[in-house]
Amino acid sequence: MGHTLAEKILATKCDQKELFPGQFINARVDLVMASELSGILAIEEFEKIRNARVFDPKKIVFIMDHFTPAKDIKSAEIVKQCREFAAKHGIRFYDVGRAGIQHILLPEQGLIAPGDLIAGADSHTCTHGFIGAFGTGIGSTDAAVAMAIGEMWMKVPESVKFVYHGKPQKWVGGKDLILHTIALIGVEGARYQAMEFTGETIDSMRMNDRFSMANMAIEAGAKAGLFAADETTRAYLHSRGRDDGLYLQSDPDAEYAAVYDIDVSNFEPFVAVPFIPENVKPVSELKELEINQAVIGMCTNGNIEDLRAAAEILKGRKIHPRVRAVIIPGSQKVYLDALREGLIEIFIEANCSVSTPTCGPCLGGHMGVLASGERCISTSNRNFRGRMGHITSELYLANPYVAAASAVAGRIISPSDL
Amino acid sequence: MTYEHFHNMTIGELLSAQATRFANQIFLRLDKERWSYADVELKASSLAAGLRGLGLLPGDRIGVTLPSTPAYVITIFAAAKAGLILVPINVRRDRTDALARLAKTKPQALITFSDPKQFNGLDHLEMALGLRENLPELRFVISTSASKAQKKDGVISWDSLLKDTAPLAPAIAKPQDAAAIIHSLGSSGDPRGAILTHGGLVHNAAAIASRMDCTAEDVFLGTIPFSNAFGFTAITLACAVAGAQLVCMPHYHPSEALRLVKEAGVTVLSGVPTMFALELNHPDFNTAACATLRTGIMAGAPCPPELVMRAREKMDFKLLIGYGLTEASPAVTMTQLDDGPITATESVGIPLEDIELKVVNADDVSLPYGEEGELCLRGYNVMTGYWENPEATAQVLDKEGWLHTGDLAVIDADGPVRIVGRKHEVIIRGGFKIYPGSIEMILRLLPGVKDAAVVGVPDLIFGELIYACIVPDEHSKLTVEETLAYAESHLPNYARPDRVLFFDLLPRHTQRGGLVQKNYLRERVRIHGHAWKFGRNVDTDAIIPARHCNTADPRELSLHCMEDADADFVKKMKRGDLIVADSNFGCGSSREVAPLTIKAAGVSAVIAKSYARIFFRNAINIGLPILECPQAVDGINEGDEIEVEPATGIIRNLTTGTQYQAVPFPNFLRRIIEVGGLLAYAEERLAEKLG
Repeated sequence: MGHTLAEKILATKCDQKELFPGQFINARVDLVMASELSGILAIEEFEKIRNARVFDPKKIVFIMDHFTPAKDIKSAEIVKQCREFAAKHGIRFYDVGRAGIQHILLPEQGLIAPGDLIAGADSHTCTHGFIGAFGTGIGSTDAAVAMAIGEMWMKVPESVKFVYHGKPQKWVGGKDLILHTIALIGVEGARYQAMEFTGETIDSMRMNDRFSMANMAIEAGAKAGLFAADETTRAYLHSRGRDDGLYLQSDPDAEYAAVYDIDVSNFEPFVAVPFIPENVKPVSELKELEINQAVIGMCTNGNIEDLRAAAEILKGRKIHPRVRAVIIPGSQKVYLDALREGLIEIFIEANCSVSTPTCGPCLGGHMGVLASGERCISTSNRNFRGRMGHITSELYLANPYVAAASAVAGRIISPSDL
Repeated sequence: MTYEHFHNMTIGELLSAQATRFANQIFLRLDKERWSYADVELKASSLAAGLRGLGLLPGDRIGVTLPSTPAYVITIFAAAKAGLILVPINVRRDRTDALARLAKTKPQALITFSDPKQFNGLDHLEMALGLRENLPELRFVISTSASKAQKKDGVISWDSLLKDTAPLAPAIAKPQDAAAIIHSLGSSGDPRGAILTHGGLVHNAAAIASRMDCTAEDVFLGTIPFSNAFGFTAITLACAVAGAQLVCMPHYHPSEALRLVKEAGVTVLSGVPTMFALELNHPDFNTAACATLRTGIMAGAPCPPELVMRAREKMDFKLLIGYGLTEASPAVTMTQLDDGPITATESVGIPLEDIELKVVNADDVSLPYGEEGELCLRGYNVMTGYWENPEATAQVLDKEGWLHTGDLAVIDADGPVRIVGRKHEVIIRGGFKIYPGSIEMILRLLPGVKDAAVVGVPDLIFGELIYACIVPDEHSKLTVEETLAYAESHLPNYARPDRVLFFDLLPRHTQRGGLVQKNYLRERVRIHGHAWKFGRNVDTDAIIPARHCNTADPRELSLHCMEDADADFVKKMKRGDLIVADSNFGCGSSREVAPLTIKAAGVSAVIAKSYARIFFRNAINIGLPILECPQAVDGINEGDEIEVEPATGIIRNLTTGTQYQAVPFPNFLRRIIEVGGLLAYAEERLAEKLG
């Protein structure tokens, strides 16, 4: 019997010829990642382990991104503790000005390769499935133990396959495909499963679109969201200095818990409406919903292609007088590329604010928190009650075209209606 | 004046002596108000006269249900001066509990208050008025906060009694007279009123103050209710003996305690282990704010060495461990300020002066140093007996004056006492008392058994059931049936294990001689509680910063992390309750905050549809069993009574009578849970790697 991509990657991490869903394993990790938010707890846990040292400083990375640049004394102190721990143990540390949002930064810096197992103390670590790596979120105790012994325990997940057909229309991207998929199966639809994204649509899909899709696999309950690494992946990683890695694929006779065929050719952009990512509607059904804020970027849509998409809409336009727009490039490099391409000028001319890379508003932390009753369209990944601010605020999730077009119109619209 | 001065004194005399020595020094503090020793003496004398004016006579009982306020302290001394026997009732007792304590002691007066807002709508004054029909002897209901309407109902205002300034005849009570009746629970849960004498309580307070080296410079914090022997003696009276200040805390809350420590410059901080754990884990906690702390006592429950160590380190003070029981006024042993780290964290110290200790076996024969047996004590502090309960008294107090504690202890040759088990380790199954040690001894003789531990778990029919936890030899093929058959031929029928469960290893204390952690094991073999059911996406942490505290500190999130699910969830949980969760429960990164919060709230296990979401990983990682069983999740409703055997994965819904089988744990996962979490497991793995 054949095996899925997830089973194949995990088998290489525990020296097994083959693995089956439901098996428990202690897997070797290729990279342990933490932000300051999870890192501080991981450090506290790590220090409780007697005689603990980090198993391999090169395979641990701390990326300060949630409340950075430090929004208050407390966050400054937390980052300081992380910085000191990293220095003490010689582990990689990405600070303000040299960093970005962890999920954008890892591939950009060439820290990961296809076939890697990435244990990240952040639930959106599933993002790294976009290059064919098994990224999965862990807690801080897991992170502490992974830092100490280089292993994490897990159950081998079942896999569920999504086969996408058809050529997406203009304004439709990876974000729309994943929103549609979550709506199709629900937020529990891939509970503890590896989502595997395949099909002709995927084969010709750009890396940033794959990124958005894998990023939101956790919103369907998935353990991982995987794309088989292909030539597109190879070219993408080559430009980032990584020519290694395991380019694995599922066997043709691999067993899946379910297979979904999805035709994307008639898709229009989708929007997830409050307060759960499965509440998805075509943007055309949401006319007349006035907004107060638009946030574009962060991790889900924080790559340069996403900013280009927003700039395409915003070029030569001004955003609606009622609306505040915050553009958050995913990393310093994305920021610099946007600057060099003239995108930042377009944003500022359009009256948008441009932020340094940070998770900031996505988790209601800083840099654009919402007041009571406010409505925001965002390219982020969660729209739970109060996620970006006040409990009565509302968050709508969309792709960067829709977010930018809505910022201009002052209400949620499709870019085609602009 | 030395501490010996207080060795033969009544509580009333204690206050008079201190009012002379420390007249204008502050004794009590509450918010911005201050009462000097002279103030308290005057008020206590007035109240005593007022109480006597009602016609109360020496030896009459007076019930007190008040929060830990200055009025309570004044009442303690007033009752003493009037020769009345105080019967403290904790403000958290409901009508049934209060009645059970008052029906036997038959108080002639009851001092209470009314503040339903603070007590979930419970009006103590109304409750007291309602009790009158069941307590014919109760002549006076006195309230510190009576409304006009209630006064019409015969309620006497506490303030009005203070107006009496008529001089009292001195020394109504003698040191050997009863000062208070404080209730403890018998083995069947029935309250028994321990009669404690003036001399015993004051002497005990002096011994405690002496052990802590207290002076008039000290500031005590009233963390423990004054209705409890710990709060009564080790806080209120010990503070008075030292001539120190007492910062009153009507309602304990860790943040309030931390605030008061900092703002009032508290030097003596005592509490039960839970209080210290809550304070240390509280986001407001910081070492700098504890700068004034000097010492204090952790007591009232087994004190985990890790917690003691952490408190000593993080609060940077010489925290002492105390062992005591209500029947002993209460302190029996305490560690000392200059103890080394092992004694200071792993023992309960040495006996207080003038208290004799011994350890006896089941035949009441004294055992030599180093042997485990029941701890007995004798001295000035031992109660004179249980109020109107000679049978119960005879069970614990022998003719030679030895009080049998029911606690299992070892007295080390160099002095320190270690409490190694509590009396509830003795299993009572169908009325038979069963000593786990004797069964374990027999089970260990069965070929193939490497280790064995026996625990009792609650059962509706038998009271308790006997669970034998067996660690088989590595290559043994021992079965449950063989073990049961062996037990049948070697043990009397009432002592045979009801269930046999196999373990890879038994949870043992890393210190304390590697004893099996029976409480922990008991939670591993059978959990019994009610289901709290949670469904879909609950953003257990990331959502919270903006909504509640906008903090960047993940540790603060634990306070709010479950609010999406049910704002009052944590407060409503009872120990043993379980979470029955759909997979997406815990949608945020969750880290440890949610599991730690629910563990602190008393959740014993999580039944889930899968290991999905970080939340579940973390439950296991902190040693909380999680059972994967989709059918059970669907088949259990909120509030159902549930029984779980984590070791076998059996889940029983007692409400519907349905039984489920969880997906079996793989060995290493069982190991993580058995050793108490992933950190301990990692230590084990590291040790393996280092060879």
